[in-house]
Amino acid sequence: MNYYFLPKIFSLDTTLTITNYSPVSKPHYKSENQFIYITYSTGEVWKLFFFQEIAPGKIASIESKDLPSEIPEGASVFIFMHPKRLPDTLSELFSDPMMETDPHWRGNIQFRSPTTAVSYQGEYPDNMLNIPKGTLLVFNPLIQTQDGINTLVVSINITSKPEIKTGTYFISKLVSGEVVRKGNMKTNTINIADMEGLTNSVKDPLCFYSPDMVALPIFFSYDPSFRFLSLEHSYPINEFCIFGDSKFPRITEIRRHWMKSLNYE
Amino acid sequence: MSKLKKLINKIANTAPGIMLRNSLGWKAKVYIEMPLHYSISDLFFWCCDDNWNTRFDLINLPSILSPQKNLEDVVTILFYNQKGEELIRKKIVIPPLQSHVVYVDQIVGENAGFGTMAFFHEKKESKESEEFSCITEHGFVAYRRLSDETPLWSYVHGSAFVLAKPPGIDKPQTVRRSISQSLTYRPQVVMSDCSRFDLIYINPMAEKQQIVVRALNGSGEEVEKIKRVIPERGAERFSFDNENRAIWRIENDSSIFNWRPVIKKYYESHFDVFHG
Repeated sequence: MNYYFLPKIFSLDTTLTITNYSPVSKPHYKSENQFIYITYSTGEVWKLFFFQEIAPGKIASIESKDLPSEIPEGASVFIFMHPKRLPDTLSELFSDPMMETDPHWRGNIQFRSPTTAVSYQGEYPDNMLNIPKGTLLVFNPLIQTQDGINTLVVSINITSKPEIKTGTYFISKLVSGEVVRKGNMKTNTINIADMEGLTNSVKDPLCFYSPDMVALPIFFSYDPSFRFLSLEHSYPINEFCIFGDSKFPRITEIRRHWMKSLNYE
Repeated sequence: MSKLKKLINKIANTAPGIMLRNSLGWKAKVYIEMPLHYSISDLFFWCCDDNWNTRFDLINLPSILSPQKNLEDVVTILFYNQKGEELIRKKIVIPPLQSHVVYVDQIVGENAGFGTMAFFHEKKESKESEEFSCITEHGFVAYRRLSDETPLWSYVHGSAFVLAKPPGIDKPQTVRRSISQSLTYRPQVVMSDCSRFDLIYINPMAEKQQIVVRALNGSGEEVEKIKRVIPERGAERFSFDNENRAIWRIENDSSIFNWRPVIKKYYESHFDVFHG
């Protein structure tokens, strides 16, 4: 089961498109009506709003202007589908094998200006809801620093429990180790960090990390008129290699090494 | 795991077992496992002409995966044309922890057009017994339309592992297995918000492959169907005029698992590029 998100960025319209069909035929996929829910965390519970029912084979789009007025200004909004009607509050978000397809069951999150649009084809998988002592480590942040271009890093964290905890992110230069930016990130939040003023050099490239927070980072770059936009996510270091029975334990060791050796001051 | 389960697992992973799984489409095994000192790359789409340029951002992967060894990264760059014929082969060395940007216009020169490219990262010396996994290049590639008055690049990552290169040997081989059944892939995205879009497919297999692309309207009815054969390591671009917004979604049939297109949507002032 996947969760999706609806970030609010400047005056851009945001649209999430989700489908009630799998990207590939799947033997155990049960074709049935789904209910779309919009949720946010109060810090104590997950508040749920039923949005619409969607029949098998159909597509639904949720725009930022469609959000229920009861959702407080500035709350981070998450969206999911489920085949059953759910109560108005949940003490925890849950997992379900319904959307476990290969390739992944995606949603399309689109930012639209008056003249163009960009989208991110992705999801927040339920297996990321309960990662104990999670960290974030990105060696290829897509931070664009050309003249007249700025990048926002949108880092999404969702945990099954609604509590909102604060962690820290860092951006440093990989070769010199210099920390060039740091800030706070929160759980159950769409965290947005402005990268204005940074330089990303090939001789000393940037690295983005958090010692105490898991997040799905996406990179939104734009010109001030919003006539030109770019959006893509990065991926974790386990995608730097494939095959080998000891791949995952070794990658865990490598992550630990980096998390110890990167600077935090 | 019980003895019976172990035995079934063992048989299922023999060559005849994999062949049977792939012909039945049951727990198909779509990758050929390579020796761990081989380097693996996706095949990426490049496009470079009077109106487009492409860049590829490389980082020194060996120095990140072996952080105590301060390794240089020897990267073999391979370019293929649209037909999958090798165009250019080049080697570069990236110092430890540094990155490198490949600008495609500086590589392809007079071979303007479009095609595919791969990037193989290798340590100067690599022994199978010392490696825990195959180093893999999975992206990022970025595109810029030269008529756009902006230095912005539009990024997209790779979609699937395709080629493996043994150390010291120039010819890469595919890591993909075909499946004897027709598979439908349905990108979970709506196309009706733009008046024009391209779908780009790269053939990851060692033989030419047929693909059928269908465009569907809002009721799921077929409004256009295109059948083409794409040569091995080649690329094909399917362009759709959607001025009347008749096309809502697309799907493709092939015998390749997870044959995802790169999607380019065109809007009034700019374009969007992502994996379907």
